[in-house]
Amino acid sequence: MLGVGLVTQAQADTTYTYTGKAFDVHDSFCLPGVSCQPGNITAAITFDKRVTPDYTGPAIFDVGIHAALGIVSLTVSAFGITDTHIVTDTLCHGALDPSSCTYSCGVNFKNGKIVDWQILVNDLVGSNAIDLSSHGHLSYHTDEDKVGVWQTSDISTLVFGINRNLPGDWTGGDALSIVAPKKDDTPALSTNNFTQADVPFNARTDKPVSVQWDTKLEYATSGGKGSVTQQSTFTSQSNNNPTINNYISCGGRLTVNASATINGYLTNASPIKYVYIVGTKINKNLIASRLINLYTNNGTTARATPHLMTGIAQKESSSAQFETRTLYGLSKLWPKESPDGGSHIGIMQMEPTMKRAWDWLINTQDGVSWFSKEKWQIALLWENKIRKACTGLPPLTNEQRENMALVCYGPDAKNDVHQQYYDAKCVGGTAIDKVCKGGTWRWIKNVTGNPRGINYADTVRSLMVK
Amino acid sequence: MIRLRIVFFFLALILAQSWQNTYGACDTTSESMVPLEQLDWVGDGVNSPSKSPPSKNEVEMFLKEQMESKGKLGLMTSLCSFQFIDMNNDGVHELVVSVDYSDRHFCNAVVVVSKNDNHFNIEELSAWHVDDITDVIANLDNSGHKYLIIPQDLSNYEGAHCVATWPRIYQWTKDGFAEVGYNFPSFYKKHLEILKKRRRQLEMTSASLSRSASTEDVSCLLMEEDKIARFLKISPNAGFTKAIDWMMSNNPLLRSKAIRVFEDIGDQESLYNLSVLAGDSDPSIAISAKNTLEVKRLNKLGK
Repeated sequence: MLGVGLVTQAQADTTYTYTGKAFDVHDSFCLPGVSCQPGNITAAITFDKRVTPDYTGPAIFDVGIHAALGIVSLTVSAFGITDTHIVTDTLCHGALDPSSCTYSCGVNFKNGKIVDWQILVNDLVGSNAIDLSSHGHLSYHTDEDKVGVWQTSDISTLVFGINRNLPGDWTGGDALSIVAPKKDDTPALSTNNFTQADVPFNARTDKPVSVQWDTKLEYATSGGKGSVTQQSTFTSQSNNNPTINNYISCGGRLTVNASATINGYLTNASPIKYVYIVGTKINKNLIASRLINLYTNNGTTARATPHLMTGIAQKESSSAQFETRTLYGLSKLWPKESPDGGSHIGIMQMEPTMKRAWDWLINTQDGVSWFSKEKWQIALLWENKIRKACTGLPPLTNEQRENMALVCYGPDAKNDVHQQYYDAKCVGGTAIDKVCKGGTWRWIKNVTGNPRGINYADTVRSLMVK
Repeated sequence: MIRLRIVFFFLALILAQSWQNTYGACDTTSESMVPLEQLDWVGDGVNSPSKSPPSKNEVEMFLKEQMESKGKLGLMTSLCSFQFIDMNNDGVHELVVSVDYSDRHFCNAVVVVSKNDNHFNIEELSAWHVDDITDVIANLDNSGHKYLIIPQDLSNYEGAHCVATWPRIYQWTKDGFAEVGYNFPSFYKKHLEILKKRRRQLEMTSASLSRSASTEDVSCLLMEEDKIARFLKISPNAGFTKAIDWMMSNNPLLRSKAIRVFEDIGDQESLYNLSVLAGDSDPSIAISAKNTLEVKRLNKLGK
C-alpha cells in the first residue's frame, strides 16, 4: 500500500512506499477557496518491491501527471538507484500545459533493489491548485536483455499525491476529505435501548460526487478473545447532510475509508484511524427489570424466584455491561471483561461474541435463556438420577431446582452426582441399595460435596435485587 | 471372455484403490483412522495415539461416553484441551484433558483417563482456568515421570474480578493422584519470587490503573504469596494480619478474601473471625462465611 495519512503539517516531504501490487491512493490538497501558498513541493515515491520478486530485467515506468492549474513546472527524477544499469538522468521536466493538465514521461531501467522517484513541483499559484496526481504503470520485459513483448504489470493505476511543506490546516484540503466522523471520535451506544450508535458520515469535495464508504469495525477483548472484524460499505453524496450509519449491537475500533471518482480518477480520502464506538452506562433498575421479565417469561415453568437472574448479574458483573477501562489505548466504557483478558463478557459474563459484548439485551437474553433452559434441564437430569437411586425421594421444588441449576451455571459446576447442590440422605433409617430402611430419603444441602458451587448459588441469592 | 474379466478385475481394483485413496486422504484431515477406543495406548506403534492422533471431536465424544459410563453426565462435559502422554513412565499413554462442566468456558477440571486392558479409568482434579492442558504438564525432575501443576482457586469467584490461585503439584499413578508439592520446595520458592516481582510491578503501575482495580489485583497476588509462605512453612500464619485488615475493610471483595484466608489457616482465631464475618451486613459475605463455618463443622465431624 501507499503511505497514507499525508495531510499533516509537520510532514515536509511525503514518501510513498510501494509494498503492494497496485497503487490506489490519491491525495491532493487545496480546494478552491482554501488558501494555499505557492511554492516548491517535493515528494518522493519509493519502490521497495520489483514487478515480480525475482525480476531483474529492464522496465519502463510511465507516469502521467494530472496537474492542477497553476502548476507550471514539474520534474520527475529517479534517485537512490544503486544498480549501475539504471538510468539516473532526469526523466522529464518542463512546463505543463495547463489546458490539458496532463504530462507523461518514461524511463528504461534495470530494476534495482530499491528505486526512488522524486517529483518536484513548482506551483506558482497555489490557491487554485486542486491536485497533483499521477497515473502510471510499470511495464517490464519478459526476457532480460532481449527485445520482446512488453507486459504491463498490474500496477496500472499509480496515483499519488503531494504533501506541501507549507503551514496551514491541511486536513480540510484534500480533493476528497472526510468531514465526519473525526479521528478519535467516541460515539456511544446511546440509542435504541443503549444498543445502537449513530455515526454521521460526511465527505467534502470540490463538486458534489457520490462517495463510497468502506468501514472496518474491529473488536477483541483485552486478551484478544472473541476477535471480530465487521466491514460495511455504503454510499453517500459529498457536501451534503451527513449520512447516519447505525452501528447496532456492535462496537470497538472503527477505520473509515472513503473514495470517489473525481475528474475521472479514483480518489481516496485519507482514512480516519480511528473512531471508537463505546458503551454507555445502563441503569441498573432497567437491567433488573429486563432480567426479571426475561426469566419469568422464559419457558412454561413457573419461576420460584422471579428475581433470581438479578443475583447472577450482580455476582457476575455487578450488573454492568460496560466499565471504564483501557482498550486500544483509550480509557472509555468498554464491555466488562473477566480478569483473564475477557474469556467472559458483559452482565451475565458469557463467552464473548460481538453481540454479547456490545448488546446488553442479547447478553441478558442469552444468559437467562441458557440458565432457564440448559442449566434447568441439567438440574432435572441430576434430580432424576438421584431420585432413581433413592426410592421414595420426593421431587425437588422449583426453588430447589433453581439452586441445582445455579451450581451448574457457576464456575464450580461438577459432573458428579454427589457434587450438586442437593444430595439424598436416608434420615432415621439405613440405606440399603435404593431403599431407606426404617427411615425416609430426604434432600439435604450438600455443603461438603461442592462447597464452592454451593457458595456460588447462595451468594447469588443473597445478591438478588429485592 | 477371460480377457474381459481380467479387464473388469483391474478396473474394479483401480476404482477401489482410487476410492480408498480419496477416502483416506479426506479422512485423515478430520478423524483418525483408528477409533480412539481401539488405539494402542502402549508404546509408539502405528496405532498409538502419537502416530494416529485422534481429533478433538473424537476425544470429546469418547470422554462423554466414558463420563456416562461412570454415572456422570456426558452432555455436561465440554473438552477444552487434551494430550496423550505417558504420565508415569511405564510406556503406556494416558489421556490428560482439561474440561469445562459449566459450558461457559470454565476449564476448571483436569481429568486423566487411563486404559487398563479394555477398561478405562477416570481420575479428576479441580482446577482453575486450565485452557490448555499442555501448560500444566511438566517434567520437574529426571525421573521420567510427568507432573501436573494445577492452578486451584484460593479466593471466591467474584465474577469479573480477579481470583487468587496457587499451583498444586500432583503425580499421577495407577492408584490415582498424589499431591507431591512438598517434594519441590524450590519450585514454590521460585514461584514466590515471581509473585513478589509481579506484585511490585503492579504496585508501581497502579497509578495508571483505577484504584479499585489495582487494590483487587494486588490483594489477589498477596493471597497467593501468603499461601505459598504458609505452604513452605516460612510463616504458618502468613496473611492472617492482612485478613484482619480486609475483614474491617469497606470493600466486600476484600472481606470475601478474608473468609478464604481464615478458612485456610483454620485456627481458633480464624474460626472466630469467620463467625464475625457470618454476621456481616453484606448478605453475600455473611452467607459465604456461614457456609465456610458449616463445612469446617461437618468436616470436623467427619461428614
